[in-house]
Amino acid sequence: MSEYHGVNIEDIFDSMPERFRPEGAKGVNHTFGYEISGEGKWKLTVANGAMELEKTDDLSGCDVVMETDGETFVGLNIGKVDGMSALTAGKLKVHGDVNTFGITSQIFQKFVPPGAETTQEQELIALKRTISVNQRFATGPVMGKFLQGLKNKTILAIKCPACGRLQSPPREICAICRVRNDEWVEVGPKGEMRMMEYCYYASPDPLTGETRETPYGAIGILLDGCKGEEVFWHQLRPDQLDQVQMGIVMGDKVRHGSRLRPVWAENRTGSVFDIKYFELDE
Amino acid sequence: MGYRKKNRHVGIVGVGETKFSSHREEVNQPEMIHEAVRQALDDAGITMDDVDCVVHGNMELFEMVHQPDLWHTLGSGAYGKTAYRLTTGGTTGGTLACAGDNLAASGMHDVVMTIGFEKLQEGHTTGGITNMADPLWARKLQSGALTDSTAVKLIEEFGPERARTAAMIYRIIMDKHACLNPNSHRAFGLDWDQMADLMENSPPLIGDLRLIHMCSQSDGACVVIFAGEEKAKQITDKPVWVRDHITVHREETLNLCNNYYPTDTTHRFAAEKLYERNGITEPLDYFDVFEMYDPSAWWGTDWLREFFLLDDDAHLKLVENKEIMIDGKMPINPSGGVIAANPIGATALVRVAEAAKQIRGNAGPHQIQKPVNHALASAFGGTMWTVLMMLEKELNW
Amino acid sequence: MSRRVAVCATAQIKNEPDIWYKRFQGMLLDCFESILSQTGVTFDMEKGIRNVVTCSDDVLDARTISDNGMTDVVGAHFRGEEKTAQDGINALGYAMAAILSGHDDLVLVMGHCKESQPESRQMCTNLAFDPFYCRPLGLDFLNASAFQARAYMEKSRITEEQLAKVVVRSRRMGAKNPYARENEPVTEEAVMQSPLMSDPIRELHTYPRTDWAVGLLLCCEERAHEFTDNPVWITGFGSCMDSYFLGDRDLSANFALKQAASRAYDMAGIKDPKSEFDVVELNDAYAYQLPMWAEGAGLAEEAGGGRWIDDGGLEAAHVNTSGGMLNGNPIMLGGLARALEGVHQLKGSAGDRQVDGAKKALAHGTTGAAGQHHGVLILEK
Repeated sequence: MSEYHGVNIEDIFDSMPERFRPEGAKGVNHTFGYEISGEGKWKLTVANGAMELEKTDDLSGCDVVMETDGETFVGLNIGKVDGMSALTAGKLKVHGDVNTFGITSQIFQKFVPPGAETTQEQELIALKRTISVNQRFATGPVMGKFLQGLKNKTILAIKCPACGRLQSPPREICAICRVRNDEWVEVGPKGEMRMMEYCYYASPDPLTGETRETPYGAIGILLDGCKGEEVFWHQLRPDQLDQVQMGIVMGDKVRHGSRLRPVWAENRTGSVFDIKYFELDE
Repeated sequence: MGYRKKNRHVGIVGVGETKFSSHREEVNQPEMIHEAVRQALDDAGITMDDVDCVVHGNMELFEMVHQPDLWHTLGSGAYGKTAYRLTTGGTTGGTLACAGDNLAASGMHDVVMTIGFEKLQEGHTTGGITNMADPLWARKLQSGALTDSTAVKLIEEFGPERARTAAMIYRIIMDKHACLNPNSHRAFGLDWDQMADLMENSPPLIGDLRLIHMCSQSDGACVVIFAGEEKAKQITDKPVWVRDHITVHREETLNLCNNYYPTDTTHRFAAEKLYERNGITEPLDYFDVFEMYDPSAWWGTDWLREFFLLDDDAHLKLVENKEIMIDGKMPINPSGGVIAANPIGATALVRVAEAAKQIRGNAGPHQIQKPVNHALASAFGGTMWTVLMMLEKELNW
Repeated sequence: MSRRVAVCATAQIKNEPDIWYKRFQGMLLDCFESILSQTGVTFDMEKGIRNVVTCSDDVLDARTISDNGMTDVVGAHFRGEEKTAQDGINALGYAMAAILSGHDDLVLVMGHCKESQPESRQMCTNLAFDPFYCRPLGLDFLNASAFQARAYMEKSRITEEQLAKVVVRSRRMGAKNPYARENEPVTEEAVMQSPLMSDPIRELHTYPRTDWAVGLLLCCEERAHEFTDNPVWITGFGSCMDSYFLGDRDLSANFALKQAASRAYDMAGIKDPKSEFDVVELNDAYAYQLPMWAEGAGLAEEAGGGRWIDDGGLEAAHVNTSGGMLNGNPIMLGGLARALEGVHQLKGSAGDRQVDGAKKALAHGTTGAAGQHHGVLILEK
């Protein structure tokens, strides 16, 4: 068994039972797999406030498996290596949900290498707060009319009186001409998909902390009646992510994207999700 | 009448940078700022008494401190000084540098200290960036600063193999530079033989944008001190002269999430205007270093074409032939750039600080070994905003 | 090179308690269109506006990069935009520097703020304090000002009657200003009886919740004539930051204001503020601040603010003909409202409030708790 930074891999696993914190394990039901190259594989089962660890070759039942080398593993445990950096640099791989593996940090006390000084490191006081101030966002007449339109299952665009450019969702002014927009046209509701952001990672809603399910697709659609840069931004039906085709215009080269149609929500309130999503129009 | 003559020249006389890291829990915000302020003052060999104006900036919704310059007076030395606060999102650091130049050039102030900082660990970065989007629409759809659109564009134009490889070469070069810079937040020690593995296995974030391509979320502060010509020459025998700067913004939704090329970029517009009014026809030849604000390897690769006004695949060749390395024809980010360290409010100011250090010749282990007379620094932020600044070693234009 | 900068045009919407029917983009667009039509200015890269200086705040807008959503309505698409996140008086100071530096001939200054949007102004200003000590104590700009009010009222012997006079007058002046917030006129008794918000500050001593947007076009002296034949000149600006922790400050000393004023006066060559200004606009978010800032700016004797009120100082010096912040301007934009009134007075377009032959005006803005930061602007005809 190799030693890194004066620490034996076995020490880390052997000490797990005594470092185990039942209060941190409340409500946790997972099987974690550790695959340390050149050292072996371990399976950690946590259920009903208790843990079970075995060294085994079979990690098939695990919800999530961490794959790394000995040095990185020790480094992670003694605070010499930052998990995110290791993941980015490819020194650490996680099969399964990365966030699930994060749970282990609340289940175990921090590993202290045997023979290390027993004087407590200065504890840093951390203050955790979620700050929220309720807001009442005005739509104004321009955005307001557009959102009203959605309630009525219509997608409206506003037109620049100078260059004729359409904007949907609408803006008060044409940024290019610096002139107030004043004419409305109905566009779509169907259109051709241009860009799709195939999102494996979802950022949490800043006000609620909720994270949407991944993967999801944020899309740009060229609605019927629109041209060029006049693209509408929304999302794709989640189960169709792998069935759609992006459209692209690159100089003279034109490739058409999938035809999409909106799926309207039953209950429409005048907001972005009055359209649930767009789906393939077949 | 076009661009008037500058009222007086302005030189950078001192810089300070904290180590960039994701774990600065042992200092609070004013303390962290103070580290950089202290360094910059020592670097210039002056005290706060010599400073008559302080300009502060960051993106406050990350740390959720309203008007943080008020609290930060404890560490910034702004007490009793004329004080400004300028914030323009990711370009804040660049705007601070422009302000330093404007304020000192105006004659209203002789010595202007600009402070950019961020303590991203104290908030939720991607949540904070998502908050940038319109609450009525885009906020529900946006995924922070992450986008696959540049990868899609490069892949369409040059094919998946070439595009992905170029972006990865760029990434590794940035990491090699970062390994030379003791202030870097992240320096992985990546090597060429890891390329295939990273391209295949780095966790994807959005489409072809993978974790390995993206910048870090860092804590850090940067301070750059500007002085009017006469004062600058008194303070130091190596002032770095600010020649010119330009800021170009764009409306937030224009051509977003579209695959419609070519599109006008603020980067190219800024470069065109700046070079034109300064009589620079061959930017690739003219500049000795470019500290570019590159939040991802895809963007860094793509924007070389924009900032150097190139066509076709000239920019890819720069990367593939490794000309952008520290000893190459056009060194890009000898500091490791934004992928190595991104304390957002400070990041763009760090580009200016690093470019200035290169001109002075005392950047440290990541100093370019050839003479550096002309430097370029860029800032990026918001929805494709650009700030571009030119620095010179000699007052000879 | 010239040391002064011209204000070629101004535009504003009406100060209102709740502009629920427009979002801030619409509010700014009204101002933007007005400036363009008044001056015929363009955004041509050679001859027009290349840079816009804006004023707004992320926390109050509940939007990271509060200037991100307004690039188009201020004309900054493919042009520069720099946001000052402080009271707007500083936006004018910075715009002045940008012009005097030679970098820009023209700068458009645009500001917006909607106090009606967040559920509580105090919750927002509480966030300006450090998270460990002052914030959990519940400090916000209102109660921090209450500390200052108590200290100042004691030092300068300010009475409830004097404060009431200030409030009544602010509403009377505001009523003559078509862009001021419309408030019910109040009697001095009503002011003195109004409920305490944070002792000694009463409800009617505080500036009411307001939404507003404003724009100004600034230009270098050499080209001002292209855009107006009635320029008003900015001839001086100064600002100063006080210490953060309330316990470190002598709250009644006016340290920052005295510094800011002296810097602005030096730049403009003002030797005797008491006699040189025809109009004075001080940023009084709370009634006690009017006499206090008057002392700090050198218009009233040290500790003589109360006497100054009783001796008719407000009328004699034509103070806050706009109604002042006390009549209602949103936080962040108070200084711009002060500057706008100064400009109107000097142009002769102040209507019923006009001070005849006005040639010099002082405009002032404050940022932070109990005036931690002050900015002072000098305007001349």
